[in-house]
Amino acid sequence: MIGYLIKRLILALFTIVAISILSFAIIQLPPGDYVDAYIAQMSASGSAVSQQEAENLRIQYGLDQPIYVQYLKWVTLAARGNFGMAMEWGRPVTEVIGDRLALTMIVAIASVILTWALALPIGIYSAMRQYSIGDYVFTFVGFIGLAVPGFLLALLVLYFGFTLFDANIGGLFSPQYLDAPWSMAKFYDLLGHLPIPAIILGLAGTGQAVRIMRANLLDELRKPYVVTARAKGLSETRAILKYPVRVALNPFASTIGYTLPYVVSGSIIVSLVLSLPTVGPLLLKALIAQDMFLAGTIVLLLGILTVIGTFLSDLLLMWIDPRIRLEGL
Amino acid sequence: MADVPLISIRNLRTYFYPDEGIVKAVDGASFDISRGKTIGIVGESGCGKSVTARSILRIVERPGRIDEGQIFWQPDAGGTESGAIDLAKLPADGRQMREIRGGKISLVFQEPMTSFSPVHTVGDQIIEAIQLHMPLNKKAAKDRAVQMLRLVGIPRAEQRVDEYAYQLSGGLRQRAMIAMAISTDPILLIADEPTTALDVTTQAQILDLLRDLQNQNHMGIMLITHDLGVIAEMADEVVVMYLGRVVEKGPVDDIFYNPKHPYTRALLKSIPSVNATPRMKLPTISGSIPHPYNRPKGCPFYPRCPEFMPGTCDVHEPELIHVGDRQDAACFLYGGVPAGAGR
Amino acid sequence: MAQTLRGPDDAAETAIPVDAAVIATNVAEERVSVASQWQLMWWRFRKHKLAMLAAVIVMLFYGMVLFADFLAYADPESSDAQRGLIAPQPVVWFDPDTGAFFPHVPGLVGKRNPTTFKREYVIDPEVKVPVKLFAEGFEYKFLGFIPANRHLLGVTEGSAEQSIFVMGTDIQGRDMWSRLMYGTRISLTIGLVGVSLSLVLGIVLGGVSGYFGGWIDTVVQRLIEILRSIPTIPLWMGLAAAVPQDWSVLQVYFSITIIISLIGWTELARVVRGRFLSLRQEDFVMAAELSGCNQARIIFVHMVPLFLSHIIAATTLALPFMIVSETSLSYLGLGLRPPAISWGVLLQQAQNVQTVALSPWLLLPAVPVIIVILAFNFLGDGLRDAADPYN
Repeated sequence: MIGYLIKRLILALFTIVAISILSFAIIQLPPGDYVDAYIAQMSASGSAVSQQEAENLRIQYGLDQPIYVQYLKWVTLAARGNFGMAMEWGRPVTEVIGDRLALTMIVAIASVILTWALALPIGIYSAMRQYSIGDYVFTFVGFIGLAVPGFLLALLVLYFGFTLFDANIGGLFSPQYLDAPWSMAKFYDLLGHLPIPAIILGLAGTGQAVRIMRANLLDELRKPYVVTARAKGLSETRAILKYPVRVALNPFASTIGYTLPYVVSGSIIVSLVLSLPTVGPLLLKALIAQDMFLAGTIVLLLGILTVIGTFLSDLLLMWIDPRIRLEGL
Repeated sequence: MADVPLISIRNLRTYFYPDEGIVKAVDGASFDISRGKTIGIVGESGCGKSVTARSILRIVERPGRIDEGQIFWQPDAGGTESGAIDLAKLPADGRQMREIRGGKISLVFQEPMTSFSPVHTVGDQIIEAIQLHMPLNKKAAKDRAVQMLRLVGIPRAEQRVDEYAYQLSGGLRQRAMIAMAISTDPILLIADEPTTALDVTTQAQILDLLRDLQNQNHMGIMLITHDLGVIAEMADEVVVMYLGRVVEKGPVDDIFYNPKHPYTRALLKSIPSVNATPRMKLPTISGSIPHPYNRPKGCPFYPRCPEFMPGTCDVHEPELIHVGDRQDAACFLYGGVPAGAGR
Repeated sequence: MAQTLRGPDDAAETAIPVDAAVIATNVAEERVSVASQWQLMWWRFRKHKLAMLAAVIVMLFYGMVLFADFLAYADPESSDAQRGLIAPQPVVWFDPDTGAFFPHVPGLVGKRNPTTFKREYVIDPEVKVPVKLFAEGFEYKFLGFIPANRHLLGVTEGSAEQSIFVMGTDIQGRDMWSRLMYGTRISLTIGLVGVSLSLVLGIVLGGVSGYFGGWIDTVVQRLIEILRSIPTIPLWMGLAAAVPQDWSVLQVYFSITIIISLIGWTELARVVRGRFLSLRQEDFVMAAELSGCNQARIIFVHMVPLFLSHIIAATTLALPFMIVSETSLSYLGLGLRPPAISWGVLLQQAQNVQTVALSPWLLLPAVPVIIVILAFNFLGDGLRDAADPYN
């Protein structure tokens, strides 16, 4: 078990390093460097930057050094929480990001939890009552989730909400709480607004999870230990829930690890459509404006939080499956 | 006066209804199981032996169901026939049936590898069986579980009880299954191919174990197998099935030394023997079992029967008739031909 | 009475009526046992009605790719601000008064909006503009080199660009239907090219990893795992945003293709690797090695044919992912850019809910997206089941 933990930890660390390199690469990608962009911005607003000023800025930001030095500089600064300046806003990146990062993760995690809470019972029901009306209905809904890309679904929900219900769906807070400081009331407001983005984000995942759970359970239901359970005199419901469902959960649990990054990814686009105050819209603006420190930092932090989330889910898997606990598979 | 039989199956028909057609897995089987004795059900794969066992326990899976017939259960040695319960009429998932299933009638079957849940300990599963049918608390149930494991010959039972199924070898797993089955003091043990997946030495040990348990608890055993050697060793009475019907039944000696039905005879002839003439071709039964959707009309065995009588066997279905003191066979060779049949 | 049991050869000597059904089954079984792998796959695939339907739909769509120029009737670039956001004018096939075959669309009448003083076009059902089939219209090159000017629909007088708007127009007055035709072409081909690149990457890396095993496998495995644990969309957004603004349409097209193929290769690599790993243990591989085959021969002659069908199925399932990736990126403005037309570019116009509420036809490009995704998924499922019904 310890061996398993250590393996996952090392992998997580490697992943974080990889993310940092990738994020840095993103920062460096656009032609020209930070100072060029700064000059461009200044000239767009009408003021000029002299050659000497540019030189000084370059030295100040270490932009005249070789790339790996820049990388190390950036990493050390980042480790201390200094992520640089966001150009458009003229404020430190951390201030601009604010609680958007936390909100992103909240929406993503809410979506994952919702996916699970829905997919499990539906999957079990579909397997037990194969070919029933309920099975077909759920399969159909699953197909919608499969066929309609996240952003499209969000768009359609917005459209129908607007035309049919005259409601302005979208956003995570009612107007009065938008800029207010955190409080229990604000938290409840958030909870009230969470379901729609969470469902939209999670629908594709739910559809797939239901299919997997259904297929797994159907496989397990054919196995002899189910006969043993019935032959012992257990009622049908108890026999199914206690044995094949438990076993069918295992491969399912191992997919959680990859659900989180997928959902976080998807939330970027969906939050753009729904205008959620999360990291998504900010990232897009940053990318279009070539505000690379902001963009790169968002990518980095998002990645790190995802890795942590995945690691926690690995712990969960370990708790569920005794085979891993005992043999460190 | 003979005891009222433990189980009396009368004209059982268990049919399956998949999309492609009807599969008549058990098609009119009748026989009795006596208490304290071992009855061997023998036949090729697909003849309906397992489905019969599942029918008794009412765990026949969809799309199958018991269409006709009765399964009379009389657990009381001094009880009467009229006092027997018809298991076929009870709701399969109802309280009464669930008390019988696993409590009074237990099942041991073929798959030692996968018949235990991989995510629960062996002990937990046995304790569950015990607590379902006996008023014991957790600790007492666990003690009993360990006791059962010891009884079936598992060494270091106190440790093994907390292990998972994959940590035990095949033979030990089968013993553990037997332990779980007898832990509730059943009156009838149904053993469905209990040794088929084991090597010969382990097989002998398991059979010995079953016999010992039967002597100790005066338990009835319904032993299902396709292995005639196992039948010869263990059974008191034998039932031969083919394509869902009972073709012959009787005391084991009568069946083995004086088989009447052509199928039984062919089966016995096909066993290789140390005493047979060397360099003689081993007799086989010609043809193969018909496809379940393609059952022949009349006697199910006629396409492969060396004694086939055209006009009779392919038109009418033979019923079981007495061919010996306590032996019955379903074959027109011994009478029962309806008037006007044959050429 | 001596009983003689018959052996198998004796059956011919005596006239026992053997069951006709038994014979029929044997013939069918024989047919199955000599059929080739592809024939078996086709038979199994045929049973999946849904997958067959999906295959037809996919073929229809790729037919649209070929005939995009013909199916469109208006130059997709021809814009006219005054004709912006006109509602769809459905083609009416029969004259409502006479019942004769008279395909036409309601005409447009220009009015000056009293509030904004801008000229606006409004549909007037009284005016009937006759529509001609296989009419002449703007010029194009079929298949890239055959000059032609016939289109599915056209008008007898005036220009199609000003008269027919089967699916309405966008904000800039461009005909939506024609743009949709061209958008379909780009979206579907980008998916194909992207999937091919992913496939190459996946086969090479997955194959090397699965076949050679050892440390190569570990490295590639870890790489794939790392990529899977990172939220990839932000990364690809970053890459896409880095494509310089001044690149030509074609350059942008190819860079986007490369980016989306980088997104999807991990799944294919996993499938290929899994297949290689399981096949490597098989005895026939050892037999091939022992009889002196070189590695390339073992891989391509002995192993690959066995899982080729799985690869095809996995690729078909990867296509919708590619298409969605491109559509999403373009929708955000980070993918293809005007004057390129793709489903994503078309949907970009539908970003504002208020606009869409007033002109819901702007959302119509979503329909082919959904249909194609469903079709490819069903097709891929059918192929996968046909390739190996036990998986």
